Amino acid sequence: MTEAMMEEVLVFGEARSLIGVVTRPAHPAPDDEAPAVIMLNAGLTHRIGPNRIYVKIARALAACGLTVLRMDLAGVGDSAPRAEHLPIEQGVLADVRAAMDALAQAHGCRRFVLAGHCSGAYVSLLGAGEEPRVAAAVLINPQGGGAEWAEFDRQRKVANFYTNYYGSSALVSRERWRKLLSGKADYRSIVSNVVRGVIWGRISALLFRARAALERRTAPEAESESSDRQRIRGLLRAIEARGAPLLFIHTKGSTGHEYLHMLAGDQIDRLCAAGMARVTIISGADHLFNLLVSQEQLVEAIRMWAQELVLQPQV
Amino acid sequence: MINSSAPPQIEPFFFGSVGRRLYGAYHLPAEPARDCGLLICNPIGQEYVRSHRACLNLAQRAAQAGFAALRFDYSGAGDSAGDDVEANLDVWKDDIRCAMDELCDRSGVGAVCLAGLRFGASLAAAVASERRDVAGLVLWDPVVDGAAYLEQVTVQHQETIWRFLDQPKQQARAPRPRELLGFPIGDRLYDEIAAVDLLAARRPYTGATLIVESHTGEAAERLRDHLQGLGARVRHQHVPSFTIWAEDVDKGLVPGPVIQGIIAWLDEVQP
Repeated sequence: MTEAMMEEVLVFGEARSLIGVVTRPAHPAPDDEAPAVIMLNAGLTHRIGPNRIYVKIARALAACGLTVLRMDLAGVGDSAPRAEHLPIEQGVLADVRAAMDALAQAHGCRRFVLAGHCSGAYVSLLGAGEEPRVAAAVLINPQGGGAEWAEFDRQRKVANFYTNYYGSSALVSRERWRKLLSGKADYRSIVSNVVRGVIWGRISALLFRARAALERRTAPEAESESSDRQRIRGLLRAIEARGAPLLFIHTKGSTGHEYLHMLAGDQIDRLCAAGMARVTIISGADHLFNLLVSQEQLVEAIRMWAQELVLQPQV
Repeated sequence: MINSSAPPQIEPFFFGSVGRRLYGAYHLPAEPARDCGLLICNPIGQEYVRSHRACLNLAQRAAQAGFAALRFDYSGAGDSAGDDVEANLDVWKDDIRCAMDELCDRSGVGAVCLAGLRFGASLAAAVASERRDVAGLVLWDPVVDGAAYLEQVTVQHQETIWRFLDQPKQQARAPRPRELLGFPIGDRLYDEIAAVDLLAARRPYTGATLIVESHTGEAAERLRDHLQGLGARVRHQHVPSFTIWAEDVDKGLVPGPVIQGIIAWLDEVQP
Protein backbone atom coordinates (compact mmCIF):
# COMPACT_ATOMS: atom_id res chain seq x y z
CA MET A 1 0.00 0.00 0.00
CA THR A 2 1.35 3.39 -0.89
CA GLU A 3 1.32 6.31 1.53
CA ALA A 4 -1.34 7.96 -0.61
CA MET A 5 -3.80 5.41 0.74
CA MET A 6 -5.36 4.61 4.09
CA GLU A 7 -6.98 1.38 5.23
CA GLU A 8 -9.15 0.98 8.28
CA VAL A 9 -11.45 -1.60 9.75
CA LEU A 10 -15.20 -0.96 9.66
CA VAL A 11 -17.42 -2.83 12.13
CA PHE A 12 -21.07 -2.21 11.40
CA GLY A 13 -24.64 -3.47 11.34
CA GLU A 14 -27.27 -3.37 14.06
CA ALA A 15 -25.45 -5.97 16.13
CA ARG A 16 -22.02 -4.65 15.06
CA SER A 17 -21.35 -8.12 13.75
CA LEU A 18 -20.43 -7.24 10.15
CA ILE A 19 -16.78 -6.61 9.33
CA GLY A 20 -15.05 -4.92 6.43
CA VAL A 21 -11.95 -2.97 5.46
CA VAL A 22 -12.21 0.53 3.96
CA THR A 23 -9.53 1.74 1.56
CA ARG A 24 -9.44 5.50 1.00
CA PRO A 25 -7.19 7.90 -0.84
CA ALA A 26 -5.28 10.07 1.63
CA HIS A 27 -4.28 12.88 -0.73
CA PRO A 28 -6.41 14.36 -1.99
CA ALA A 29 -9.40 13.43 0.16
CA PRO A 30 -12.15 11.64 -1.77
CA ASP A 31 -14.62 13.84 -3.61
CA ASP A 32 -17.87 14.05 -1.63
CA GLU A 33 -19.86 13.54 -4.81
CA ALA A 34 -17.97 10.43 -5.92
CA PRO A 35 -19.73 7.15 -5.20
CA ALA A 36 -18.18 4.69 -2.74
CA VAL A 37 -17.57 1.14 -3.93
CA ILE A 38 -18.76 -1.86 -1.90
CA MET A 39 -17.20 -5.22 -2.79
CA LEU A 40 -19.27 -8.30 -1.99
CA ASN A 41 -18.08 -11.82 -1.21
CA ALA A 42 -17.50 -14.31 -4.00
CA GLY A 43 -19.25 -17.35 -2.52
CA LEU A 44 -17.70 -18.20 0.84
CA THR A 45 -14.32 -16.64 0.07
CA HIS A 46 -13.67 -13.95 2.67
CA ARG A 47 -13.48 -10.28 1.75
CA ILE A 48 -9.99 -10.36 0.18
CA GLY A 49 -11.62 -12.15 -2.77
CA PRO A 50 -10.33 -15.02 -4.88
CA ASN A 51 -6.53 -14.79 -5.08
CA ARG A 52 -6.68 -11.55 -3.03
CA ILE A 53 -8.05 -9.83 -6.10
CA TYR A 54 -10.49 -7.63 -4.13
CA VAL A 55 -7.56 -6.09 -2.27
CA LYS A 56 -5.87 -5.25 -5.56
CA ILE A 57 -9.08 -3.79 -7.00
CA ALA A 58 -9.77 -1.76 -3.84
CA ARG A 59 -6.29 -0.26 -3.81
CA ALA A 60 -6.38 0.51 -7.55
CA LEU A 61 -9.73 2.28 -7.18
CA ALA A 62 -8.58 4.21 -4.11
CA ALA A 63 -5.64 5.41 -6.21
CA CYS A 64 -8.28 6.85 -8.59
CA GLY A 65 -9.87 8.77 -5.72
CA LEU A 66 -12.63 6.38 -4.67
CA THR A 67 -13.52 5.07 -1.23
CA VAL A 68 -13.83 1.27 -1.30
CA LEU A 69 -15.25 -1.12 1.29
CA ARG A 70 -14.58 -4.85 0.98
CA MET A 71 -16.98 -6.51 3.36
CA ASP A 72 -17.97 -9.91 4.66
CA LEU A 73 -21.67 -10.67 4.45
CA ALA A 74 -23.23 -12.26 7.55
CA GLY A 75 -21.84 -15.76 8.11
CA VAL A 76 -18.96 -15.30 5.66
CA GLY A 77 -15.33 -14.53 6.57
CA ASP A 78 -15.04 -12.61 9.84
CA SER A 79 -18.68 -11.48 9.98
CA ALA A 80 -20.88 -13.39 12.42
CA PRO A 81 -23.92 -15.27 11.14
CA ARG A 82 -27.14 -13.31 11.47
CA ALA A 83 -29.20 -13.96 14.57
CA GLU A 84 -32.60 -13.72 12.88
CA HIS A 85 -33.79 -16.03 10.11
CA LEU A 86 -34.29 -14.23 6.81
CA PRO A 87 -34.59 -15.51 3.24
CA ILE A 88 -31.17 -15.26 1.54
CA GLU A 89 -32.04 -12.28 -0.69
CA GLN A 90 -33.48 -10.28 2.20
CA GLY A 91 -30.47 -11.12 4.34
CA VAL A 92 -27.83 -10.00 1.88
CA LEU A 93 -29.81 -6.86 1.02
CA ALA A 94 -29.98 -6.01 4.73
CA ASP A 95 -26.20 -6.42 4.96
CA VAL A 96 -25.60 -4.25 1.88
CA ARG A 97 -27.91 -1.54 3.25
CA ALA A 98 -26.10 -1.70 6.59
CA ALA A 99 -22.80 -1.18 4.73
CA MET A 100 -24.21 1.87 2.93
CA ASP A 101 -25.50 3.33 6.21
CA ALA A 102 -22.10 2.76 7.85
CA LEU A 103 -20.19 4.41 4.99
CA ALA A 104 -22.64 7.31 5.02
CA GLN A 105 -22.12 7.80 8.73
CA ALA A 106 -18.34 7.33 8.74
CA HIS A 107 -17.42 9.11 5.50
CA GLY A 108 -20.49 10.97 4.28
CA CYS A 109 -20.96 8.71 1.23
CA ARG A 110 -24.37 9.08 -0.41
CA ARG A 111 -24.16 6.94 -3.54
CA PHE A 112 -22.63 3.56 -4.09
CA VAL A 113 -21.25 1.17 -6.65
CA LEU A 114 -21.74 -2.52 -5.84
CA ALA A 115 -19.14 -4.95 -7.19
CA GLY A 116 -18.70 -8.66 -6.83
CA HIS A 117 -17.42 -11.84 -8.36
CA CYS A 118 -19.57 -14.96 -8.94
CA SER A 119 -22.35 -14.92 -6.32
CA GLY A 120 -21.13 -11.42 -5.39
CA ALA A 121 -22.05 -10.38 -8.94
CA TYR A 122 -25.61 -11.53 -8.37
CA VAL A 123 -25.80 -9.69 -5.04
CA SER A 124 -24.53 -6.57 -6.85
CA LEU A 125 -27.26 -6.90 -9.48
CA LEU A 126 -29.85 -7.48 -6.77
CA GLY A 127 -28.71 -4.44 -4.81
CA ALA A 128 -28.63 -2.28 -7.93
CA GLY A 129 -32.19 -3.32 -8.78
CA GLU A 130 -33.62 -2.92 -5.30
CA GLU A 131 -31.75 -0.07 -3.63
CA PRO A 132 -32.03 3.49 -4.99
CA ARG A 133 -28.70 4.58 -3.47
CA VAL A 134 -26.85 2.23 -5.83
CA ALA A 135 -25.48 4.33 -8.69
CA ALA A 136 -23.78 1.52 -10.65
CA ALA A 137 -22.70 -2.12 -10.42
CA VAL A 138 -19.82 -4.32 -11.54
CA LEU A 139 -20.61 -7.97 -12.21
CA ILE A 140 -17.54 -10.17 -12.48
CA ASN A 141 -18.08 -13.68 -13.80
CA PRO A 142 -21.65 -14.13 -12.60
CA GLN A 143 -22.60 -17.79 -12.39
CA GLY A 144 -26.06 -19.24 -12.46
CA GLY A 145 -28.34 -22.01 -13.55
CA GLY A 146 -29.45 -25.13 -11.75
CA ALA A 147 -28.03 -28.63 -11.49
CA GLU A 148 -28.00 -29.14 -15.28
CA TRP A 149 -25.82 -26.07 -15.80
CA ALA A 150 -23.51 -27.15 -12.97
CA GLU A 151 -23.09 -30.56 -14.63
CA PHE A 152 -22.48 -28.88 -18.01
CA ASP A 153 -19.79 -26.74 -16.38
CA ARG A 154 -18.19 -29.77 -14.68
CA GLN A 155 -18.05 -31.74 -17.94
CA ARG A 156 -16.42 -28.80 -19.69
CA LYS A 157 -13.71 -28.66 -17.04
CA VAL A 158 -13.06 -32.40 -17.23
CA ALA A 159 -12.84 -32.18 -21.03
CA ASN A 160 -10.49 -29.18 -20.75
CA PHE A 161 -8.26 -30.98 -18.32
CA TYR A 162 -7.74 -34.11 -20.43
CA THR A 163 -7.50 -32.14 -23.68
CA ASN A 164 -4.77 -29.96 -22.20
CA TYR A 165 -3.09 -32.83 -20.40
CA TYR A 166 -2.87 -35.15 -23.40
CA GLY A 167 -2.55 -32.30 -25.87
CA SER A 168 0.37 -30.57 -24.24
CA SER A 169 2.07 -32.28 -21.35
CA ALA A 170 1.82 -35.94 -22.33
CA LEU A 171 2.54 -35.38 -26.02
CA VAL A 172 5.89 -33.76 -25.35
CA SER A 173 6.91 -36.01 -22.48
CA ARG A 174 9.65 -38.45 -23.48
CA GLU A 175 8.91 -40.51 -20.39
CA ARG A 176 5.24 -40.91 -21.27
CA TRP A 177 6.03 -41.87 -24.88
CA ARG A 178 8.51 -44.44 -23.59
CA LYS A 179 5.85 -45.94 -21.33
CA LEU A 180 3.31 -45.93 -24.13
CA LEU A 181 5.59 -47.65 -26.62
CA SER A 182 6.98 -50.15 -24.15
CA GLY A 183 3.52 -51.37 -23.18
CA LYS A 184 3.75 -50.04 -19.63
CA ALA A 185 1.08 -47.38 -20.04
CA ASP A 186 -2.38 -47.79 -18.56
CA TYR A 187 -4.16 -48.01 -21.92
CA ARG A 188 -7.58 -48.58 -20.36
CA SER A 189 -7.28 -45.38 -18.35
CA ILE A 190 -6.07 -43.37 -21.37
CA VAL A 191 -8.93 -44.61 -23.55
CA SER A 192 -11.45 -43.95 -20.77
CA ASN A 193 -10.14 -40.42 -20.21
CA VAL A 194 -10.16 -39.57 -23.89
CA VAL A 195 -13.50 -41.20 -24.75
CA ARG A 196 -15.45 -40.35 -21.60
CA GLY A 197 -13.67 -37.20 -20.51
CA VAL A 198 -12.99 -35.49 -23.82
CA ILE A 199 -15.17 -36.92 -26.60
CA TRP A 200 -18.29 -37.59 -24.56
CA GLY A 201 -17.75 -34.37 -22.60
CA ARG A 202 -17.69 -32.33 -25.80
CA ILE A 203 -20.70 -34.17 -27.28
CA SER A 204 -22.65 -33.66 -24.04
CA ALA A 205 -21.87 -29.97 -24.13
CA LEU A 206 -23.14 -29.71 -27.72
CA LEU A 207 -26.31 -31.64 -26.85
CA PHE A 208 -26.89 -29.48 -23.78
CA ARG A 209 -26.56 -26.28 -25.76
CA ALA A 210 -28.81 -27.59 -28.54
CA ARG A 211 -31.47 -28.63 -26.02
CA ALA A 212 -31.28 -25.29 -24.22
CA ALA A 213 -31.65 -23.42 -27.53
CA LEU A 214 -34.60 -25.59 -28.57
CA GLU A 215 -36.34 -25.10 -25.24
CA ARG A 216 -35.84 -21.37 -25.54
CA ARG A 217 -37.44 -21.34 -28.95
CA THR A 218 -40.36 -23.61 -28.14
CA ALA A 219 -41.00 -22.55 -24.53
CA PRO A 220 -39.20 -19.31 -23.71
CA GLU A 221 -40.53 -19.37 -20.16
CA ALA A 222 -39.58 -22.97 -19.43
CA GLU A 223 -40.25 -24.00 -15.84
CA SER A 224 -36.59 -24.62 -14.98
CA GLU A 225 -35.48 -21.16 -16.02
CA SER A 226 -38.57 -19.07 -15.47
CA SER A 227 -37.83 -17.84 -11.97
CA ASP A 228 -34.22 -16.91 -12.78
CA ARG A 229 -35.23 -15.36 -16.09
CA GLN A 230 -38.02 -13.26 -14.62
CA ARG A 231 -35.91 -12.18 -11.67
CA ILE A 232 -32.88 -11.13 -13.74
CA ARG A 233 -34.97 -9.38 -16.38
CA GLY A 234 -36.97 -7.58 -13.71
CA LEU A 235 -33.81 -6.37 -11.98
CA LEU A 236 -32.33 -5.19 -15.27
CA ARG A 237 -35.53 -3.25 -16.07
CA ALA A 238 -35.40 -1.55 -12.67
CA ILE A 239 -31.73 -0.66 -13.16
CA GLU A 240 -32.42 0.65 -16.67
CA ALA A 241 -35.26 2.83 -15.37
CA ARG A 242 -32.92 4.42 -12.84
CA GLY A 243 -30.15 4.85 -15.39
CA ALA A 244 -27.53 3.06 -13.29
CA PRO A 245 -24.58 1.92 -15.44
CA LEU A 246 -23.47 -1.72 -15.37
CA LEU A 247 -20.12 -3.32 -16.10
CA PHE A 248 -20.21 -7.01 -16.95
CA ILE A 249 -16.86 -8.80 -16.95
CA HIS A 250 -16.71 -12.38 -18.19
CA THR A 251 -13.81 -14.67 -18.80
CA LYS A 252 -13.91 -15.98 -22.35
CA GLY A 253 -15.96 -19.15 -22.70
CA SER A 254 -17.44 -18.97 -19.21
CA THR A 255 -20.58 -20.94 -18.47
CA GLY A 256 -21.99 -18.01 -16.50
CA HIS A 257 -21.74 -15.75 -19.54
CA GLU A 258 -23.60 -18.29 -21.64
CA TYR A 259 -26.33 -18.61 -19.01
CA LEU A 260 -26.78 -14.86 -18.54
CA HIS A 261 -26.85 -14.34 -22.29
CA MET A 262 -29.58 -16.95 -22.58
CA LEU A 263 -31.67 -15.26 -19.88
CA ALA A 264 -31.23 -11.63 -20.79
CA GLY A 265 -28.83 -11.27 -23.72
CA ASP A 266 -31.26 -9.05 -25.63
CA GLN A 267 -31.72 -6.69 -22.67
CA ILE A 268 -27.99 -6.44 -22.03
CA ASP A 269 -27.34 -5.76 -25.72
CA ARG A 270 -29.90 -2.96 -25.60
CA LEU A 271 -28.30 -1.45 -22.49
CA CYS A 272 -24.90 -1.61 -24.18
CA ALA A 273 -26.26 0.10 -27.30
CA ALA A 274 -27.68 2.87 -25.10
CA GLY A 275 -24.30 3.32 -23.39
CA MET A 276 -25.67 2.13 -20.06
CA ALA A 277 -23.75 -1.12 -19.91
CA ARG A 278 -20.41 -2.44 -20.97
CA VAL A 279 -19.46 -6.08 -21.49
CA THR A 280 -15.76 -6.86 -21.19
CA ILE A 281 -14.47 -10.30 -22.12
CA ILE A 282 -11.09 -11.37 -20.75
CA SER A 283 -9.31 -14.07 -22.74
CA GLY A 284 -6.96 -16.68 -21.32
CA ALA A 285 -8.51 -16.45 -17.88
CA ASP A 286 -10.39 -18.87 -15.68
CA HIS A 287 -13.35 -18.24 -13.38
CA LEU A 288 -11.17 -17.28 -10.40
CA PHE A 289 -8.51 -15.34 -12.33
CA ASN A 290 -5.75 -17.66 -11.20
CA LEU A 291 -3.20 -16.24 -13.65
CA LEU A 292 -1.57 -12.95 -12.67
CA VAL A 293 -1.88 -11.53 -16.18
CA SER A 294 -5.64 -12.05 -16.04
CA GLN A 295 -5.78 -10.39 -12.61
CA GLU A 296 -4.05 -7.35 -14.07
CA GLN A 297 -6.52 -7.26 -16.96
CA LEU A 298 -9.43 -7.45 -14.53
CA VAL A 299 -8.11 -4.64 -12.33
CA GLU A 300 -7.42 -2.48 -15.35
CA ALA A 301 -10.90 -3.04 -16.84
CA ILE A 302 -12.54 -1.96 -13.60
CA ARG A 303 -10.15 0.94 -13.03
CA MET A 304 -10.77 2.38 -16.50
CA TRP A 305 -14.54 2.01 -16.18
CA ALA A 306 -14.49 3.60 -12.72
CA GLN A 307 -12.46 6.57 -13.94
CA GLU A 308 -15.05 7.25 -16.63
CA LEU A 309 -17.81 6.79 -14.07
CA VAL A 310 -16.31 9.24 -11.61
CA LEU A 311 -15.93 11.80 -14.34
CA GLN A 312 -19.60 11.53 -15.28
CA PRO A 313 -21.46 14.08 -13.14
CA GLN A 314 -24.83 12.30 -13.47
CA VAL A 315 -23.53 9.06 -11.89
CA MET B 1 -12.02 -26.68 31.82
CA ILE B 2 -13.46 -25.91 28.39
CA ASN B 3 -16.42 -23.53 28.37
CA SER B 4 -18.99 -24.39 25.71
CA SER B 5 -20.80 -21.04 25.51
CA ALA B 6 -21.49 -19.18 22.23
CA PRO B 7 -18.46 -17.96 20.20
CA PRO B 8 -17.03 -14.82 21.83
CA GLN B 9 -16.77 -11.55 19.97
CA ILE B 10 -14.13 -10.66 17.38
CA GLU B 11 -12.27 -7.35 17.48
CA PRO B 12 -10.71 -6.58 14.08
CA PHE B 13 -7.95 -3.95 13.95
CA PHE B 14 -4.73 -2.91 12.25
CA PHE B 15 -1.46 -3.01 14.16
CA GLY B 16 2.27 -2.82 13.53
CA SER B 17 4.47 0.02 12.33
CA VAL B 18 3.35 2.80 10.01
CA GLY B 19 5.10 1.30 7.03
CA ARG B 20 3.93 -2.24 7.77
CA ARG B 21 0.34 -2.30 8.95
CA LEU B 22 -1.00 -5.77 9.66
CA TYR B 23 -4.63 -6.85 9.84
CA GLY B 24 -5.50 -8.65 13.05
CA ALA B 25 -8.63 -10.29 14.40
CA TYR B 26 -8.61 -10.60 18.17
CA HIS B 27 -10.91 -13.16 19.76
CA LEU B 28 -11.79 -12.23 23.32
CA PRO B 29 -11.37 -15.14 25.73
CA ALA B 30 -14.35 -16.52 27.59
CA GLU B 31 -14.15 -16.24 31.38
CA PRO B 32 -12.29 -17.51 33.23
CA ALA B 33 -9.54 -16.39 30.86
CA ARG B 34 -6.21 -18.21 30.98
CA ASP B 35 -2.84 -16.54 31.34
CA CYS B 36 -1.87 -17.80 27.92
CA GLY B 37 -2.83 -16.60 24.45
CA LEU B 38 -2.94 -18.40 21.13
CA LEU B 39 -1.42 -16.86 18.02
CA ILE B 40 -2.49 -18.46 14.76
CA CYS B 41 0.01 -18.48 11.91
CA ASN B 42 -1.81 -18.82 8.59
CA PRO B 43 -0.70 -20.82 5.59
CA ILE B 44 0.51 -18.79 2.61
CA GLY B 45 -0.80 -18.11 -0.91
CA GLN B 46 -3.84 -20.04 -2.08
CA GLU B 47 -3.68 -22.34 0.95
CA TYR B 48 -4.41 -19.32 3.15
CA VAL B 49 -7.54 -18.36 1.20
CA ARG B 50 -8.83 -21.93 1.48
CA SER B 51 -8.00 -22.25 5.19
CA HIS B 52 -9.46 -18.96 6.43
CA ARG B 53 -12.63 -20.57 7.78
CA ALA B 54 -10.65 -23.30 9.58
CA CYS B 55 -8.29 -20.78 11.21
CA LEU B 56 -11.29 -18.65 12.24
CA ASN B 57 -12.90 -21.70 13.80
CA LEU B 58 -9.70 -22.63 15.63
CA ALA B 59 -9.51 -19.11 17.08
CA GLN B 60 -13.17 -19.18 18.09
CA ARG B 61 -12.82 -22.55 19.81
CA ALA B 62 -9.65 -21.44 21.59
CA ALA B 63 -11.38 -18.26 22.81
CA GLN B 64 -14.32 -20.31 24.04
CA ALA B 65 -11.80 -22.36 26.01
CA GLY B 66 -10.43 -19.21 27.67
CA PHE B 67 -7.43 -18.49 25.43
CA ALA B 68 -7.11 -14.96 24.08
CA ALA B 69 -6.61 -15.71 20.38
CA LEU B 70 -5.21 -13.61 17.57
CA ARG B 71 -5.33 -14.27 13.85
CA PHE B 72 -3.43 -11.93 11.59
CA ASP B 73 -2.36 -11.52 7.97
CA TYR B 74 1.32 -11.47 7.03
CA SER B 75 2.73 -8.45 5.17
CA GLY B 76 1.58 -8.56 1.55
CA ALA B 77 -1.12 -11.12 2.37
CA GLY B 78 -4.83 -10.87 3.14
CA ASP B 79 -5.84 -7.40 4.31
CA SER B 80 -2.37 -6.40 5.49
CA ALA B 81 -0.38 -3.70 3.74
CA GLY B 82 2.00 -4.53 0.95
CA ASP B 83 2.10 -6.36 -2.35
CA ASP B 84 2.36 -10.12 -2.31
CA VAL B 85 5.26 -9.90 -4.75
CA GLU B 86 7.39 -8.23 -2.05
CA ALA B 87 6.99 -11.06 0.47
CA ASN B 88 9.93 -12.82 2.09
CA LEU B 89 10.47 -15.03 5.11
CA ASP B 90 12.37 -12.49 7.23
CA VAL B 91 9.45 -10.09 7.02
CA TRP B 92 6.91 -12.82 7.80
CA LYS B 93 8.88 -14.01 10.84
CA ASP B 94 9.07 -10.38 12.01
CA ASP B 95 5.31 -10.17 11.56
CA ILE B 96 4.84 -13.19 13.84
CA ARG B 97 7.04 -11.61 16.53
CA CYS B 98 5.12 -8.35 16.20
CA ALA B 99 1.78 -10.22 16.47
CA MET B 100 2.98 -12.08 19.58
CA ASP B 101 3.78 -8.77 21.26
CA GLU B 102 0.45 -7.34 20.16
CA LEU B 103 -1.43 -10.32 21.59
CA CYS B 104 0.36 -9.95 24.95
CA ASP B 105 -0.26 -6.18 25.06
CA ARG B 106 -3.91 -6.47 24.11
CA SER B 107 -4.86 -9.37 26.35
CA GLY B 108 -2.36 -9.04 29.19
CA VAL B 109 -1.37 -12.71 28.98
CA GLY B 110 2.10 -13.67 30.14
CA ALA B 111 2.72 -16.39 27.57
CA VAL B 112 1.74 -17.32 24.04
CA CYS B 113 1.27 -20.62 22.24
CA LEU B 114 1.86 -20.57 18.49
CA ALA B 115 -0.35 -22.63 16.20
CA GLY B 116 0.67 -22.78 12.54
CA LEU B 117 -1.02 -24.50 9.63
CA ARG B 118 1.03 -25.77 6.67
CA PHE B 119 3.74 -23.18 5.86
CA GLY B 120 2.50 -21.13 8.80
CA ALA B 121 3.67 -24.05 10.97
CA SER B 122 7.14 -23.88 9.40
CA LEU B 123 7.29 -20.14 10.18
CA ALA B 124 5.96 -20.67 13.72
CA ALA B 125 8.61 -23.35 14.35
CA ALA B 126 11.36 -20.98 13.23
CA VAL B 127 10.14 -18.13 15.47
CA ALA B 128 9.50 -20.44 18.46
CA SER B 129 13.10 -21.66 18.32
CA GLU B 130 14.36 -18.08 18.81
CA ARG B 131 12.13 -16.87 21.64
CA ARG B 132 11.88 -17.70 25.32
CA ASP B 133 8.26 -16.68 25.78
CA VAL B 134 6.64 -19.42 23.68
CA ALA B 135 4.53 -21.65 25.93
CA GLY B 136 3.64 -24.26 23.33
CA LEU B 137 3.82 -24.97 19.61
CA VAL B 138 1.18 -26.57 17.41
CA LEU B 139 2.39 -27.76 14.00
CA TRP B 140 -0.76 -28.54 12.00
CA ASP B 141 0.17 -30.49 8.86
CA PRO B 142 3.47 -28.62 8.72
CA VAL B 143 5.48 -28.12 5.56
CA VAL B 144 8.59 -30.06 6.55
CA ASP B 145 10.41 -29.91 3.20
CA GLY B 146 10.09 -26.55 1.41
CA ALA B 147 11.37 -27.81 -1.95
CA ALA B 148 8.86 -30.67 -2.00
CA TYR B 149 6.12 -28.20 -1.06
CA LEU B 150 7.00 -25.93 -3.99
CA GLU B 151 7.00 -28.90 -6.35
CA GLN B 152 3.58 -29.96 -5.08
CA VAL B 153 2.09 -26.47 -5.50
CA THR B 154 3.65 -26.18 -8.96
CA VAL B 155 1.87 -29.37 -10.06
CA GLN B 156 -1.42 -28.13 -8.60
CA HIS B 157 -0.97 -24.85 -10.44
CA GLN B 158 -0.49 -26.64 -13.77
CA GLU B 159 -3.49 -28.89 -13.18
CA THR B 160 -5.63 -25.88 -12.33
CA ILE B 161 -4.67 -24.18 -15.57
CA TRP B 162 -5.45 -27.33 -17.54
CA ARG B 163 -8.81 -27.78 -15.85
CA PHE B 164 -10.14 -24.25 -15.99
CA LEU B 165 -8.81 -22.74 -19.18
CA ASP B 166 -10.29 -23.61 -22.55
CA GLN B 167 -7.07 -22.91 -24.39
CA PRO B 168 -4.17 -22.21 -22.06
CA LYS B 169 -1.15 -20.67 -23.67
CA GLN B 170 1.49 -23.29 -24.19
CA GLN B 171 4.34 -22.53 -21.86
CA ALA B 172 7.49 -24.51 -21.47
CA ARG B 173 7.97 -25.26 -17.82
CA ALA B 174 10.39 -22.69 -16.46
CA PRO B 175 13.09 -23.70 -13.98
CA ARG B 176 11.16 -21.72 -11.42
CA PRO B 177 7.62 -20.42 -11.65
CA ARG B 178 6.80 -16.73 -11.35
CA GLU B 179 3.36 -17.42 -9.96
CA LEU B 180 1.70 -20.27 -8.10
CA LEU B 181 -2.05 -20.78 -7.79
CA GLY B 182 -2.99 -17.13 -8.17
CA PHE B 183 -0.10 -15.56 -6.24
CA PRO B 184 3.25 -14.22 -7.41
CA ILE B 185 6.43 -15.75 -6.09
CA GLY B 186 9.65 -13.77 -6.37
CA ASP B 187 13.13 -15.25 -6.61
CA ARG B 188 14.00 -14.49 -3.02
CA LEU B 189 10.84 -16.03 -1.59
CA TYR B 190 11.19 -19.07 -3.85
CA ASP B 191 14.75 -19.67 -2.69
CA GLU B 192 13.85 -19.15 0.95
CA ILE B 193 10.92 -21.57 0.85
CA ALA B 194 12.98 -24.14 -1.06
CA ALA B 195 15.62 -23.98 1.66
CA VAL B 196 13.17 -24.77 4.47
CA ASP B 197 13.91 -28.16 6.01
CA LEU B 198 12.53 -28.70 9.50
CA LEU B 199 14.54 -31.93 9.76
CA ALA B 200 17.75 -29.94 9.46
CA ALA B 201 17.02 -27.66 12.42
CA ARG B 202 19.77 -28.16 15.00
CA ARG B 203 18.32 -25.93 17.71
CA PRO B 204 14.57 -26.32 17.42
CA TYR B 205 11.99 -25.28 19.97
CA THR B 206 12.10 -27.93 22.69
CA GLY B 207 9.01 -26.98 24.73
CA ALA B 208 5.61 -28.66 24.51
CA THR B 209 4.93 -29.38 20.86
CA LEU B 210 1.96 -30.94 19.10
CA ILE B 211 2.30 -32.26 15.57
CA VAL B 212 -1.18 -32.84 14.25
CA GLU B 213 -1.56 -34.54 10.96
CA SER B 214 -4.83 -34.85 9.08
CA HIS B 215 -3.48 -37.05 6.30
CA THR B 216 -0.91 -39.78 6.41
CA GLY B 217 2.64 -38.92 5.55
CA GLU B 218 6.05 -40.00 6.68
CA ALA B 219 7.34 -36.45 7.01
CA ALA B 220 5.46 -35.75 10.25
CA GLU B 221 6.76 -38.94 11.83
CA ARG B 222 10.32 -38.08 10.84
CA LEU B 223 9.82 -34.60 12.26
CA ARG B 224 8.56 -36.07 15.54
CA ASP B 225 11.59 -38.38 15.76
CA HIS B 226 13.94 -35.52 14.87
CA LEU B 227 12.51 -33.16 17.49
CA GLN B 228 12.38 -35.85 20.17
CA GLY B 229 15.99 -36.71 19.40
CA LEU B 230 16.91 -33.13 20.21
CA GLY B 231 15.02 -33.17 23.50
CA ALA B 232 11.68 -31.62 22.54
CA ARG B 233 8.47 -32.70 24.30
CA VAL B 234 6.50 -33.79 21.26
CA ARG B 235 3.13 -35.39 20.81
CA HIS B 236 2.17 -36.62 17.36
CA GLN B 237 -1.52 -37.04 16.58
CA HIS B 238 -2.94 -38.46 13.39
CA VAL B 239 -6.52 -37.22 13.07
CA PRO B 240 -7.89 -38.37 9.71
CA SER B 241 -9.67 -35.47 8.07
CA PHE B 242 -9.88 -33.63 4.77
CA THR B 243 -6.93 -31.50 3.69
CA ILE B 244 -8.64 -28.18 4.26
CA TRP B 245 -5.92 -26.16 2.50
CA ALA B 246 -6.62 -28.02 -0.76
CA GLU B 247 -10.43 -27.92 -0.68
CA ASP B 248 -12.81 -25.61 -2.54
CA VAL B 249 -13.69 -22.71 -0.22
CA ASP B 250 -17.33 -22.91 -1.21
CA LYS B 251 -17.70 -26.33 0.39
CA GLY B 252 -17.53 -24.45 3.70
CA LEU B 253 -15.63 -27.28 5.38
CA VAL B 254 -14.16 -27.05 8.87
CA PRO B 255 -12.02 -29.96 10.15
CA GLY B 256 -13.78 -30.24 13.51
CA PRO B 257 -11.91 -33.28 14.92
CA VAL B 258 -8.50 -31.72 14.17
CA ILE B 259 -9.47 -28.45 15.86
CA GLN B 260 -10.96 -30.33 18.79
CA GLY B 261 -7.68 -32.25 19.17
CA ILE B 262 -5.68 -29.01 19.20
CA ILE B 263 -7.93 -27.41 21.84
CA ALA B 264 -7.75 -30.54 24.01
CA TRP B 265 -3.95 -30.49 23.83
CA LEU B 266 -3.82 -26.77 24.67
CA ASP B 267 -6.12 -27.41 27.62
CA GLU B 268 -3.70 -30.08 28.80
CA VAL B 269 -0.46 -28.10 28.48
CA GLN B 270 -1.91 -24.76 29.65
CA PRO B 271 -4.56 -25.76 32.22
